[in-house]
Amino acid sequence: MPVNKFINGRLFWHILLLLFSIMMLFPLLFAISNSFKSLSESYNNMLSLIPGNPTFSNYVTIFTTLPLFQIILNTFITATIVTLFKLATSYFAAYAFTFFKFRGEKLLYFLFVATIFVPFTVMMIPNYLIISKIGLLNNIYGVILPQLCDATGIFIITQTMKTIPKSLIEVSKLDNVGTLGILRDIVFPLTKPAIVSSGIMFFINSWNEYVWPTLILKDRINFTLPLVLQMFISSEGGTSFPLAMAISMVTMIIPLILYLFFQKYILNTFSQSGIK
Amino acid sequence: MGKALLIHKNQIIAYLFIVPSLVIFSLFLIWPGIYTIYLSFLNWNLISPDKEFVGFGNYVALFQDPNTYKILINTFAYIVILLMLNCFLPYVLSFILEYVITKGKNFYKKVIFLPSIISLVVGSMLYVWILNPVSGPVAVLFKMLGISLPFWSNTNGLVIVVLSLITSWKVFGYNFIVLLAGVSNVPRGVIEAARLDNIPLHKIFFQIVLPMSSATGIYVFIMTIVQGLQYVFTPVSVITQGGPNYASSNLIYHSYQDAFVLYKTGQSAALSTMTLLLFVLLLFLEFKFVEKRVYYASK
Amino acid sequence: MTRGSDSMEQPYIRLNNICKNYGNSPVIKDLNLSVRKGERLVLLGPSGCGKSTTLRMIAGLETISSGNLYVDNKRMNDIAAGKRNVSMVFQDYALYPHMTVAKNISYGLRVNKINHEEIQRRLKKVISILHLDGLEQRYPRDLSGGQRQRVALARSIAKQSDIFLLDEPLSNLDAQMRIGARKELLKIHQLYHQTFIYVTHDQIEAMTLGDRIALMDKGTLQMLDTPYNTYNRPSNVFVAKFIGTPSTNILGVQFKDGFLIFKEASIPAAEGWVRLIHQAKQPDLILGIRPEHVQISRTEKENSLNGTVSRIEEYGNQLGVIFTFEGAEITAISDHRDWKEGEEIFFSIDQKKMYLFDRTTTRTIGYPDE
Repeated sequence: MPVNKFINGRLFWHILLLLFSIMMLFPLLFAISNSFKSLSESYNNMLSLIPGNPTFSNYVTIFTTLPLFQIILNTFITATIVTLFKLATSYFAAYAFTFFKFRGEKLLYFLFVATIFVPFTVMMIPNYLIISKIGLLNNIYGVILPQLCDATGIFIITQTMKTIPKSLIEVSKLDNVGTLGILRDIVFPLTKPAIVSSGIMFFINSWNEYVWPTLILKDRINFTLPLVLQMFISSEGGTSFPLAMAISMVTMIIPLILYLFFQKYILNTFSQSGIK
Repeated sequence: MGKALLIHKNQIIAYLFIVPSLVIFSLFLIWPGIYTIYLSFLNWNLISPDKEFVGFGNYVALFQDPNTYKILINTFAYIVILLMLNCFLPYVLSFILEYVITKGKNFYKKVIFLPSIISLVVGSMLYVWILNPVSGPVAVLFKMLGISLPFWSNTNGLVIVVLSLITSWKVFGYNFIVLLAGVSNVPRGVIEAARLDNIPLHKIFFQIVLPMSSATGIYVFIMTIVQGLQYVFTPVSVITQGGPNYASSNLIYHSYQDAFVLYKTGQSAALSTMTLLLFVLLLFLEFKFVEKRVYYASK
Repeated sequence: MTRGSDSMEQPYIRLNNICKNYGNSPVIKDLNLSVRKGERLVLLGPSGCGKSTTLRMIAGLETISSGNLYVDNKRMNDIAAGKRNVSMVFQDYALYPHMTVAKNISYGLRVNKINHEEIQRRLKKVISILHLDGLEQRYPRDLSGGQRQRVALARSIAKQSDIFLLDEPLSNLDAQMRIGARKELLKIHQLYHQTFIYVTHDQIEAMTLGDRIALMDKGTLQMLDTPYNTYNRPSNVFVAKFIGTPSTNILGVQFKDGFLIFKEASIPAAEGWVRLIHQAKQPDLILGIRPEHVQISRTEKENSLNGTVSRIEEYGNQLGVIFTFEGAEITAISDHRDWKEGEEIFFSIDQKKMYLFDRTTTRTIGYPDE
């Protein structure tokens, strides 16, 4: 291959990749800029990425016309509880799968991981019935309850724990370190990157969760952010484009901040999740 | 006797650690799964106290309903498009990033993964505006070129393509970094040797990288189908509600609609059960025929 | 006469009829073994012989399928590993990657509520014994292989337990460092007098470190004796072949009318052997002779046999001369360097240094000078 052609090839790919990156980022930039435009400016000049007369009025409007603080709080509580429980259950299950031998171990692990492949429609009706039966319809705890455990989390944390040499656990056992001591002093520090990134992904996914909350939550005051967003697509607020952009921004901002801070952790851990 | 005790104690500790997950899984995953299969044999409307046993009636009704075939075809169309967009394309991209370009790998990785963390409801909403056929920026651009955008959300076929594109915006990055890790596990020496032999890039990709990273590739392939169909639910629900006339509905959305919009619980359950069977079949095929021939780079 | 056997103390660690099964496959079969207090016992054997499993059962890291383990007359089978007061050095050192050298050494002590001053005192001492000064605040990843090995030793010593278990602790070191590390281990033993149980597959290590060697194969104990006896008075064919390089020559022979007969050749058996053979009432025997006890020459002597040189191996200071004799290959070691492949030679066997084993049991029939 001639040298020239090779370099040209590389440049060609860079241009393609940059265009692709811009395409991926464009919706974001589009939302940011339009959320700061006035209604008329946004319609007349939807394409310009820098607002001519930046205004906070859209944000003021959505925070005054909607119980947005309550909704953000709902979303936050839901995501936090779901994340903490998923982490705890995954961590404990992974510990048992990694460091114990017990009857049914392989079968259980297979069963857990296989649930990743079960479509949510299979659980949707019975879970709805359970939640309604125990009176948690229209309540964020009804959203939270079925989500306290996560097969992907068990899988990722187990994979990470398996990289800890067994001898480390044995040497602690010989030193009379109890199970809780081993979990706290040895296993936890060594699996922290996987725990942090799984935690962030749990949080972000729960923050963004849409399907299950739409079934459970009925009143605006109990909504989570994705549900409130939906109102701006359907008839109600659907016409006010800059308001929709502002509410999109409010929904995105927390995941974006988390990603900016922890991207290295997240990318490393999740790139390994497909490798067995 | 004493030995049995020691083993016993360890087993009990292990089960204690598993129990929280097991309880939640059993209550909200396994039992509901079984209950859904049970419901698929009943005629029920989700609310009424009476449930009528109809045997395979729901299944028969499904197979007699022309919409079911429409939805199956849609589902297949989604699968094909999603596999192209979310499996093949990121595969090629990860190969280019790993072996063709030398700089900027981390930058592209970060940017391309970014949409994965954004709510698909946000994504759907943004694209509804961006792709608005009258006043959206894309329409404006095309108008300058003298082309007018079709009303895609009302156009058979096109609606599936656009909804798949929106879904891909979110899913692409995740699949991409997983594939990138798989591709980068291919021993560099093999690629370099091929380069020295002047083998063209597309041959290196199809004949070396693809087979040598197939473990990851198959994982992403399956996940694209299984999770892709579920991800599509959000834009369908937010933008088209399965319309026009079921043209954008798939197995997942339709069983939701049957259950919670039309209150045909039994039919919804039958449809979910069929979806589950489809996924199980897919997994079975993976384990039976593909896993064995997979090349594991780590071994 | 030999080290260790002059100790009159009664067994400190006893393994009585120990068996270990993984599922249906036995790994250890009816193992009986006693270790004296303060002794250095080496468990030696090829990989998969069960030596590590034995060590791990003593540590409490593996359950015992049947049989009893006693330490100081106390049955230990059901005592948890942490309560057995043993310390162990692992093959991979098992250093905590997220703790500094000092923390690695002190972590177990702190968990066991040893007071701060005492921990500091022990830490200082082991650091100086093992020349780790200045490395206290380093992490394992910043240490060389040899330093890591010494940290692992230091951590185990600091525990000051009576039983010190070592699972191939030197196998990840290069040959040069191993010699230094062996000296270090002996020094530690002199200082602390713990009971050492040391697992290795390396016979040199076993010979230099062990008061006694327990040689294992396929889950059974083959021989338990001093290094000297293990080498010079092997209890069976396996021991004779496993110990020493090049390996002991083995010939199936038959005893008839005072002669040991191998195919067409025969040699008169020495008087001591004849007596033992009669006692054993077994004419079908296996003859073992170490290469260094096969004398070769170009001139025929009394009772010498002849063979053809087939191969020569260079050992640097000596040559290994491999020749064929009645279809069998025999190795001899020679100080002379002028042997040629294909030449005819005469050889004789030093009957004082030879071994005879019962062909059916493969056990020794005894030694004439006993």
